[in-house]
Amino acid sequence: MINEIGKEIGMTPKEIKLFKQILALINDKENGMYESVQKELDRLISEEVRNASE
Amino acid sequence: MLLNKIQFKNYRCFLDGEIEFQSDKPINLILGINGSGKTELLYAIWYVLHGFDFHSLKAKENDPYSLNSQLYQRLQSDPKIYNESSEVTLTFEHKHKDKKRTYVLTRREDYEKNKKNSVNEQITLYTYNEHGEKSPLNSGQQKIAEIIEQIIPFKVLSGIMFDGERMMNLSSEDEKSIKAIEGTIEDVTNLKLFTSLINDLDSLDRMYQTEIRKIGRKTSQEELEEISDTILKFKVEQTEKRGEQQRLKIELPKLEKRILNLSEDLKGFVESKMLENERIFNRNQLEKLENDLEKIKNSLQDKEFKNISPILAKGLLEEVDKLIESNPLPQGLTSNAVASILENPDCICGRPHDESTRRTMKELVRKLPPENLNALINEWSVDLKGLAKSKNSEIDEIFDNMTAKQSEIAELKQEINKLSTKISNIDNADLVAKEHEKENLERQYRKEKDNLQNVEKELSYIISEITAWTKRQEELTKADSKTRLIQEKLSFLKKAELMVDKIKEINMNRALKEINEFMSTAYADISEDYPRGRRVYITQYIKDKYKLVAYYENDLKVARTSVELGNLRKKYKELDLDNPHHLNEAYIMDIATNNSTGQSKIMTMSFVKAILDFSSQNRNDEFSVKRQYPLVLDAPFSEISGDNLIKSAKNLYKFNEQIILLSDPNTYEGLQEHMNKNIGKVYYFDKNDGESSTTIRKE
Repeated sequence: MINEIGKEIGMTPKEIKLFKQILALINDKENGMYESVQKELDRLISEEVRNASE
Repeated sequence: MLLNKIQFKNYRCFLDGEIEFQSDKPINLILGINGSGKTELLYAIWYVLHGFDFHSLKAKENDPYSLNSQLYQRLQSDPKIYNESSEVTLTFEHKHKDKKRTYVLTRREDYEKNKKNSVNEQITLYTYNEHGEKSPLNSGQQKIAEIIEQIIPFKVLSGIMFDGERMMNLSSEDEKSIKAIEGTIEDVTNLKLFTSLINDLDSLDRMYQTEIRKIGRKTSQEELEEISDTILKFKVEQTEKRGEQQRLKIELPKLEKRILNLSEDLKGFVESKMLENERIFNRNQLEKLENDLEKIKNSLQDKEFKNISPILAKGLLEEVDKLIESNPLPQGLTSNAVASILENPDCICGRPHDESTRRTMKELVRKLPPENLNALINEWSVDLKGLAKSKNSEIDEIFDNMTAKQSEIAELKQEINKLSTKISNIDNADLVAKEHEKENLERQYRKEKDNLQNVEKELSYIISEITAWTKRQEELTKADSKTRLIQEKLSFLKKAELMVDKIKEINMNRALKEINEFMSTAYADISEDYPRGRRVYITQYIKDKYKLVAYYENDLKVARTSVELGNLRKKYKELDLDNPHHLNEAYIMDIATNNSTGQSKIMTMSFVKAILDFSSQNRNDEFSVKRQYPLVLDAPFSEISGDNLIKSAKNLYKFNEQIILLSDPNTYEGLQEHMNKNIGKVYYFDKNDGESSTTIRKE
């Protein structure tokens, strides 16, 4: 479902993959890893964007 | 989250005791007569997790405190007791991705004498990993409350813990029921996960926007081009100026060398000039000396006219001295003095003057000068001699000076003659030409040197400008690439937020569809009305969503053919009746039936089962969270009868992995044969006679 929606709104396969990673991260947060995920989210997104731009 | 154990200390009717919940069989049974504290167990779980306002039970309870009522009374009345405390500890497990964590959560309240309510309420939380390792104590009441809210949200409690009243009312249209359904559905459909994700994405968005703001500009392409042009312009100027600098650096030493050569050549001229200067100086000196000499002569002439007489009278004065010496006259003998003696008849010796004396004296009067001439002449002579002496030395000095000046003049004249001879021996014409050339070259040199200085200053400015612009260019390029990266991040965030919204909507619709299907299945299992075509449904599209309604399938068929769409459109304006799901819901709402108490309870149980089935199912969604909750049912079978009772009792074990069933012994006795094989641990609540306490007894 995520793949389909991602394509529909114009996400690249890499972005879809990143989004899935983010969901997994948030899922972990919701399930007892209670530390702030903002840093980790930033890291994931920054890494992906940097890789894409290189 | 599944419960492992609950422990009491001085807590309400339980005082001290504990209940362990078994996990290998789904149903944990607690039996007790009315008033033994079955519902209190439900409150106790609620109390530990999210706190509980015992005052809301005031109609039922005399002592709305967590502290056991007898202990509370004793604290107030016994002078030896000053404080008491109550404590409930809940041990539960939370599983995620094959990882199990055990939480030990304790809520404690302290009471003091003469204080109506507790003076301190505290929750503590310990966690243990799958290896039994204890994590550091989680301190901070707010943090602990947040953790609990994430594991088992407050809203969910209304959907998994039911006393008899809630069992009946969940399908009613009161706000509390709607909220309970909403909270439960939101939790099991991961609404919080999406909300949390949107919040996190929003936070990142703000963070990135702040970064962009810090960088200061969105795009700098045009500016970069302008800067490049400026740098290019300066670079061209720099090249020109460097060429000029180079030329001057070559030219200047050449000029310098030529000037040096000329200077060498002009050394004779310089010497000549120096000699000439010296001669001029000497001539000036000579002129001055001659003037001085002339002045001295003039001054001497003046002195000669005015003061020469004593000098010239020198011989005369010497003659006068001789005469005076040869003709001595007594000092003071004058004609007046003799005449004065004659006027007196007697001599100073007392005798009268004789005639001869008189005649002599008269002769003297005639001969003698009226004054003493010798003395006078002598005096004059002395004065004149003194004057002559002084003038002589002055004149001597003047003559000496004159002699010296004359001597100097002679020397200078000689020197000037020598210089003139030397000067006349040098070739001045050539030297003058060279001197002229040298002067020209020196002017040129100075000019070119000034040019070089100016060029170097300009170059220095150009270099500093190029450096500054290049730095700015680098900053902008860096900032630009940073901005581009951030904008790419922001672009992704926008897509991600859009994605979350879409997924949330799709997920919720799909979840409600699935929950409705699960509920229908559950209802089929436990409701005697199901074969008669009675169905249950949770609304999701109408304004007051999440209503638990029942309808008959036949009525729905009829409605689909008979109810005019126009009427439905008027009635359910918020629905999009062109959408088949919305239209279906409009028909269901239109034909919804009333429920008896028993029917309501069966609907509630169906809903609960559907919720628990939905939340505990294994799905492959990337965003789904498998959730486990205990199901606490307090007297679910009362007021249910017939097949509904048998079916619900038989199928209760299917409801959830962990069910805590609270029942009075008589009701259970009638259902035991249908449930027995799925019952795990059994506890009895024995109310102690005359005391406000219950003994927890394990079977």
